[in-house]
Amino acid sequence: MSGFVLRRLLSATVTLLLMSLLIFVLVRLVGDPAHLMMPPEATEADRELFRQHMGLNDPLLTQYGRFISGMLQGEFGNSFHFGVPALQIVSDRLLPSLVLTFSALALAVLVGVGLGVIAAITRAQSVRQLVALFSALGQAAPPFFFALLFIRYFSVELGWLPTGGYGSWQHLLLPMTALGWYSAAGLARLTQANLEEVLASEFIRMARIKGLPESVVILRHGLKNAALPVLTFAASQFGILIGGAVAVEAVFSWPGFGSLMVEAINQLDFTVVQAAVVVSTLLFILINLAVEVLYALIDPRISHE
Amino acid sequence: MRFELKSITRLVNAGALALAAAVATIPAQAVEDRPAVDRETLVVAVEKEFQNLDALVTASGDSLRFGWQIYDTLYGFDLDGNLVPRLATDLQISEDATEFTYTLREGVKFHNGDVLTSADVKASVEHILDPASRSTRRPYFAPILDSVETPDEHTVVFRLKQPDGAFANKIAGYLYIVPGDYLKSLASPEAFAQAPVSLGPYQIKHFAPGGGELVLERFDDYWGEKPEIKTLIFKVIVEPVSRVNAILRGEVDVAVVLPFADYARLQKEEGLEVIKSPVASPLYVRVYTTDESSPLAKREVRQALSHALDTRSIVDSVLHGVGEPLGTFISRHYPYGSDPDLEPYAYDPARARELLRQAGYPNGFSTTLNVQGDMPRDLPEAVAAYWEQVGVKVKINRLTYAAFSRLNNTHASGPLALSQFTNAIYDPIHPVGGAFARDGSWSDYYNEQVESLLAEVNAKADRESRDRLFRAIGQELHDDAAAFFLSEFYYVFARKDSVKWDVQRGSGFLNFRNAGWH
Amino acid sequence: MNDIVLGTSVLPGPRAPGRWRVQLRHGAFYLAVGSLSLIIFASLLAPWIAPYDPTAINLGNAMKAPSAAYWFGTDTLGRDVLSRTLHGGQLSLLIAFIAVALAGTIGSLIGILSAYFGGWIDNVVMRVVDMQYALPPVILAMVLIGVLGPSTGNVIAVVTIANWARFARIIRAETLSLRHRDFVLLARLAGASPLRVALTHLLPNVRHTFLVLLTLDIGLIIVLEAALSFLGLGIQPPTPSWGGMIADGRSHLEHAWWVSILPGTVLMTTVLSANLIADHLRGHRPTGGQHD
Repeated sequence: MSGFVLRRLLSATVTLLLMSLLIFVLVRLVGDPAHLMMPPEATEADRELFRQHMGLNDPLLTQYGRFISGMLQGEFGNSFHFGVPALQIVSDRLLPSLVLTFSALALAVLVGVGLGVIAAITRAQSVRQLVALFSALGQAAPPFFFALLFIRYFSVELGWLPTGGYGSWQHLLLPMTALGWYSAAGLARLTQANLEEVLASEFIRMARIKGLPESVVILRHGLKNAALPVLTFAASQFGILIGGAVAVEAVFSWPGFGSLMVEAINQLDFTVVQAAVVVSTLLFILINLAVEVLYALIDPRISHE
Repeated sequence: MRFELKSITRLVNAGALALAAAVATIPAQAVEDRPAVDRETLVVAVEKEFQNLDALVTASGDSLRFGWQIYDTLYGFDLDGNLVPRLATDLQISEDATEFTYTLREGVKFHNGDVLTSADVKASVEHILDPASRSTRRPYFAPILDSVETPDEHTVVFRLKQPDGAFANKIAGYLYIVPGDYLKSLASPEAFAQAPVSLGPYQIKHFAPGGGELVLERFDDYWGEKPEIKTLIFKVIVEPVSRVNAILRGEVDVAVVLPFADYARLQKEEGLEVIKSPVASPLYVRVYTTDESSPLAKREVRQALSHALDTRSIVDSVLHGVGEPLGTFISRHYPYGSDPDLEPYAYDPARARELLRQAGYPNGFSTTLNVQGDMPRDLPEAVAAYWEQVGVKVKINRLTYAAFSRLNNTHASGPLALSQFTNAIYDPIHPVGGAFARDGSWSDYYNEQVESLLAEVNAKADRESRDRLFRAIGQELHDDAAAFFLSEFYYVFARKDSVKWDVQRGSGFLNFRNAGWH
Repeated sequence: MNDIVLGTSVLPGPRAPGRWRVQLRHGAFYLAVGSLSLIIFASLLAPWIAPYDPTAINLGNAMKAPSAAYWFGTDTLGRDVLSRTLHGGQLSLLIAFIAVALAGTIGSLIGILSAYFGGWIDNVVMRVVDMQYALPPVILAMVLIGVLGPSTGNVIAVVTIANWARFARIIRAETLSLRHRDFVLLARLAGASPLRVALTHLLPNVRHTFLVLLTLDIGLIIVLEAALSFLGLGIQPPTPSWGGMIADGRSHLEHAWWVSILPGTVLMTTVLSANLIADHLRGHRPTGGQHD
């Protein structure tokens, strides 16, 4: 087991280093922040002065060395625009994103798995159709489209919930639903499919023959086997939700991580972009690792490649 | 897994359409006209995060939101943009406009209790000039400022390397005063942004990390008239639709920079007052006229393209009526320097084609228009459509703001670039010099007459001369069709009916010193 | 942008290579195929059947509600929304198909090869796949478009790069799991060479998964491109695109809902139909199969 974890940690480190190199190069290709930071009246000399003070005129290798050694100490330099440490800005925006992501995931798991289980075990065709409608709708529309409709209807027309911002559970409800619906839909179908398959399998028939009560059959044996793909799915959603909920964050003015990355790129704030990508990659890796460990623990039959 | 979904697709489509119909038909509630928090507090929705609270370092676009709340300048601008005394009670300008002497007011206190002296003014200037501050204002002062002298505690003398008739405006627009001793006590110039101290009517109570919210509290030892509002809360709502929704729902008391498209319908909302205010900053298409090989180097071609544009229609439709056609580069809303009777070129496609033929382009020509992301989306397309009517084919090149800035700064955004030049100092020299002087940073234009007029105006500090000279410049820019002037740029503000607030006219500065509740 | 990573258990289980059985009972499947075909054909024929020029501006005609003359109404510049939806569909679908084909082919090839060779090659490939997963598509789009400039080709590139890894990972997993299947082991025992096993046994089974992924991915890619266009990073105006049209109309939802909602509904229908078809293709599975 520990060998497995060690090997995974090693690959994770490699991924992280590769990613840091990639973003270091890419962000410098996008443009020159001196043009953005200085007003139009600035001369090239003024811009040179700026670049010098930001360390942007040093050879690339030096800059990269500085970046890596800083990264290992948790130091990413100061944001070009805000003047405060880049890591601080990133972590400040991380919390709202984590709140949103976990809530959306929780909603997705509860609603998705719940509906999936119901749809798998029910005999009522209408229930299956309703769940199918829910899933189909959720997966067909982009989350930002829902976001616009939700705000228009629930905030402005009915006045039940705030139109955006961050602060209370009321602020969380709409964005969480807009994001979570998509995942819930996928989870519902996944759960339903897996559970149906498991329930029809030899394995379950054995349990029933043994005389175990139906609920035990479903809960203990059925769900346990259906749990693994659900876990993988949830983990994959996490990484995507953190960085990918940009449009939803924009529409709801949610001070999250995705919109931070977009703004930082727009403003060519190198240090913040680097810090943001490294942090999100790290998180992503850790979550994946946790899932793989759980996976291996739950099902020792998995062969480790 | 199989879905028995015979009617699913139909249901989904019906559902979406029903939702849309419901959304469209339920009438909106009227805005609740009471304070979002209480009568001592004003909540304002702004459109961009606050980046750097050091107003001496950050760009105008950032500081114009909070600058006049937290800071003060030696002279300032009244609601119409006229220079008025603030921290200084008197200003003497030498005949040759190279020496500016300010007499400071006595007994002015900073937020931290320090008392204002001339040493603080000098320290503020040094903060701008220090390369380690990375101040964006440095280019305004470094080239022309020779020295700052403080003969006594209440006198400051600025000596310039060459005459600058607009220097007093620059002082009023850029030189915010901060305490010198406090600056010296900081570990580095950057540290000031983390805990700014100045002497304006408000001080900082809370600044959300990431710049999403700024809370200001009234400074009770302010030297001047204390504002009515005790707590000023700036909330950042980037998404325009969300900003509109926030004011409709009464979550904020004032909303700034609202979309033009919403102006008409917001006017119909009960409980809300909608204001469109010009910011003296023209929307125009910058032309690279110095490229001899381009058809646009010819005056007739430029005049033809001016005649081809129906700016009235463009303003009415693309800008939803929030704008005004203008005849030259100098906005009508400057306190001086513009001729209100100068009309734009008449919409006359026939004349346009005739001029093109005379210039040697009977079949028109092809060209490129560079546009940056912030511009009103449909504007370049409307311009291109009008020019196409007279045979000029336009390829629209959309760029990010970063790319556009770089190209503009390096004079690579030709032959045409859709631009806008903000007014930060209430004097036309800033945009005109930048866009039409031979060495202007955003200029690829040369006109001998304009150049000599600019040389003259730089040497004159008195209002009458500047007015006269800028009117002449404006006329020449019009006659030469130096650029394509599309519209005055406006901001749309909305406030609850019971909010008392006079908008600062002719600029983008936010001024809440006069705000209150009825 | 959201994503579905399918656990291998949801994929069709292995069958002896051979024919498929299309089940004729499923009306939903035909409805989905019908809708998708209608949209695809209408979009392909857009230049001929669109009633108006999608870029023709008519400022006096702006924001008119759907009527007999303009079935989908007009937008903020007076352009016919139906014509723009058709042309936008052509472009969005073109991008989706090309990107899916590219991502699918490249990704699957990499997946199969990676599983086939194993060892350090497999490790390196999987690290690169991890990296692509960890990089949010929007960031990738911003950087690529910031460097290369906006163009249709670049949008296809971005969407392809954002999606190949999914194919690589799943096809690789499929290939790996198949390696241990009874019929494969039997074939090896019977003396078949690894290459022959790969071609005759692995590839056909993987092909079915590949197809399912393709149809599922179409929906995802359409939504991704719409999100990019919505954020201003995708297809640039005045060229119509579904995402761009939703963005155009988002400030006018109250009084000109058709500008956003109608293209949005067409987008939803397309994605929905593609998903239903994918569901159906996935519906064949021998009973008793356990997840791997």
